Amino acid sequence: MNIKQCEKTCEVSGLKASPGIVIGRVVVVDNCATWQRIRLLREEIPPEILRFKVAIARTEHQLMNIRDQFTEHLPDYSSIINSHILILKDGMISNQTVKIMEKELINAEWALDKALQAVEVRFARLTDPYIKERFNDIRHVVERIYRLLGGEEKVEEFAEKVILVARDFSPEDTLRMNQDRILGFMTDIGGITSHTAIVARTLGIPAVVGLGNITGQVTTGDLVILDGNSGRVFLHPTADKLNFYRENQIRQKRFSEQINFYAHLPSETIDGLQIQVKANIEIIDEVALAVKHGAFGIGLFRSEFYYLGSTEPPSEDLLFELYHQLLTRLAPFPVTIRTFDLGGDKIAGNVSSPDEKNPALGLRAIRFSLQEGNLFKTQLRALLRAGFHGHLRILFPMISSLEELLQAKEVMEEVKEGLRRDGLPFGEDIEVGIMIEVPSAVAVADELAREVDFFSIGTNDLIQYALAIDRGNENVAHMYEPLHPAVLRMISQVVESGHKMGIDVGLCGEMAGDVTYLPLLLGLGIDELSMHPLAIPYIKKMIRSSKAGDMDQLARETLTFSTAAEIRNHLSNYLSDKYPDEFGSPL
Amino acid sequence: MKLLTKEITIKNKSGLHSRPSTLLVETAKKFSADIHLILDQMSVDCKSILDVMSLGCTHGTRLTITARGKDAEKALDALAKLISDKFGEE
Repeated sequence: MNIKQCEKTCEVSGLKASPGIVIGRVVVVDNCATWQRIRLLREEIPPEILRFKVAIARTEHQLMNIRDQFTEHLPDYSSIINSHILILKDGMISNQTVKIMEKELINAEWALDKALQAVEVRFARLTDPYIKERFNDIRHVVERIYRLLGGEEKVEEFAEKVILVARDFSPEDTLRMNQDRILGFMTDIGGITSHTAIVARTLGIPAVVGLGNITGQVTTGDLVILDGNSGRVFLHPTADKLNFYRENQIRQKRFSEQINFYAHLPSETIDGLQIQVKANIEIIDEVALAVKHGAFGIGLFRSEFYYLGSTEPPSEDLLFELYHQLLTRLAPFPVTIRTFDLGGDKIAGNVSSPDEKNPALGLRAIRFSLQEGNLFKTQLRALLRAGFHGHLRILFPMISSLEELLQAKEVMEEVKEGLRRDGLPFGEDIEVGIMIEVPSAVAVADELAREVDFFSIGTNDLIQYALAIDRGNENVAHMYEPLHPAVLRMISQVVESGHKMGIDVGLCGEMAGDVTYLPLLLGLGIDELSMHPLAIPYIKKMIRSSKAGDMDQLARETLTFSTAAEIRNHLSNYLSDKYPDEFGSPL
Repeated sequence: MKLLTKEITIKNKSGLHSRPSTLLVETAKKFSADIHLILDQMSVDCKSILDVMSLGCTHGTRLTITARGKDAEKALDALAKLISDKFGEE
C-alpha cells in the first residue's frame, strides 16, 4: 500500500466490527512493544528487578480489575482472564525473566523478550493448531507487562477524546477502553467474529478492523472519520466530508439515545396487536447484546459458526453444551435454532464435496444435511437433548418440497427413538418449523403448513431466488427489489397458508429490521420479526406508534399495484402520513 | 517421601487448551506436593500453566502424573478426577 497517497484525503475499507460513526484525532498505540536493549551494571540489577516486579503486580491488579468489572456482563471472559493471570505469574515468565536479568545483566524488557522467546520455541513444536494458537494469549499478557514497564499508557494522557489505532487489540484492551476518553478504534488485523469485535459491539464502541496497514498510514494527531456502519475510515477528510459526517453523527447520536428508551417496552400497536420482536445471532456471546436491546427471544440462531474454522465438526456433547447455555441464558424466552445451513465445502474434515458451478442452487442446507445423515443426526441429538432444559424451536433451512420436509422429520423421529433407547431425556414438545426461502416452498406452503408448527420467511434468499438476482453480482444487484410485487404476493401467500392452519409466520431477513417495510409486513400479517439486535429498539418504537387497522389497509392496497415503483411511492406516502416525526418528508 | 504416579488419558475434546490447563494448574496449586506431568519422557511442572499448555495434549493423549509430598495422594486423586470429568466440558 502506498503511504504517500494518504497524505491527502483518502478512504480505507475494512470490516465493520462495531457500528457507529466517530470523528476525532487518532492515537497510534504501539502495543507491539518497542523497547531498548540496555546492558546494566551489577548494582543496577536489584532496582531493575524491583521495577519488573512492580510491573507484574500492576498487571495482575489490572487484570483482576477487568475481570471483576466486566464478568457480570460477559461471563465467558472470567475464565480467559484467569488463565491470563496464571500466565503472568508463571515461572517461565516471571522467574525466568529475573534469572536472565541476573545472569546476563540486561534490562527487564530485554530479559522478558528472551523469556518469551523460550516459551515460543516450546509452542512452535506443537501440532494441534488450537492449542498452538494459545501462544497469542501469552503474547497479549507479555505486551501488557511491557506497557506497564513503560509507565502509564500514553492513551491516558490525552485530554480530548481520541480514536485508537493499533495492529490489534486484545479483548481485555477493548474491555478497558474508557468511553469518556475513547471514541472508537481501528486495527490492521482482526475479524468481525473475533472476541475483540464482539466485546466492542456489546459495549457500543464503534470499530473498524482488518484495515491492512492502517498503523502505517496514520500518525498520532491525524484527524480521521471512522464509520463503523460501513466499515470505512477516511483519513485527512475534506471539510465537506467532515460536515456531512458531523451532521450524520449528531443525528445518529440523538437518535440512538432516544431510541434505546424503547428497547424494553412491549412491542404492541396502538390498537393492541402484539408482535414478537426477536434477535438474529450466530455466536453465544451475542446473547448479551440481544437481551440489552430488548429481544423477546432469539428468532434465528445460525448454527453454522461452530462448524467453521476447526479441524473436525463439533461433537454432540459440545453442541449440547452450547445449545443448553443458549437456552438457559434466554429463559423463559424462546430460542429458534436453525440446523446448519452449509455446503459440504464448509464442513471441517469433509473432503468429498464436489466443486459446484452454482453453489446457491447446489448441495447445501437441508439437502446437505439429509445426505450427510450423521452430521445432521449429531446436531439433532444435541438440539433435542438441550430442548429438555428450555424453550427450543428447531428450524430447517431451505426446504423446497414436502418430501424433503417429511424426510427431515423422519430423521428427527429416528433420533428421538435413539435417545429413548439411550435413556437420555429430551424435549418432547419442541416446535419444528421451516425456513420459507425457496419459491417452490411458497407455492406449496399450504401443504407444508400441515406438517410444521411455524414458518420463518427468509427474505434475503427468497428475493434472490424469486427474482433470479445474485446480490453479489454488481451488474444486476440494483434489480434486487424487496418491494417487487412478486415478493409481496409471496409473503402474503405464505402468511395466508400458515394462518389457515393456525401456525405463526415469522420473517427473519434484512427486511425485518428495516423500519420502512414494517407497516407493510405487519399489514400482510407477519406475526414475528427477527433481526439484528441493534435494530430492535427502533422497530419497537415504530410498532408502538402503528395501528393494525391502517396497516391492513396499506397491505391490501399495495397488493393491487403492478410495479415496485408504484408500491414504493405508495409506501413512502403512507410513511410520511402516518409517522410524520420519522418520515416528515417523503422518502 | 515416596513418589506416587498415576496414568491418565485426556478425554475432553479440545485437549489441554487455556481453560482446562487453567483448572488443572489452579487445582495443583491447592496442594503442597511437587506435581509433574510426564509425556514422552518430558516432565513438566503441573503448577505452571505454560508448562502444561506447552505439552500440547490433545484428546486421547496418555499422560503420567507424578506427585511427591505429604498430600501427594489427595492431589493425584483430585487431578485425575478433574481430567476424567473432562474439566466439565465435552
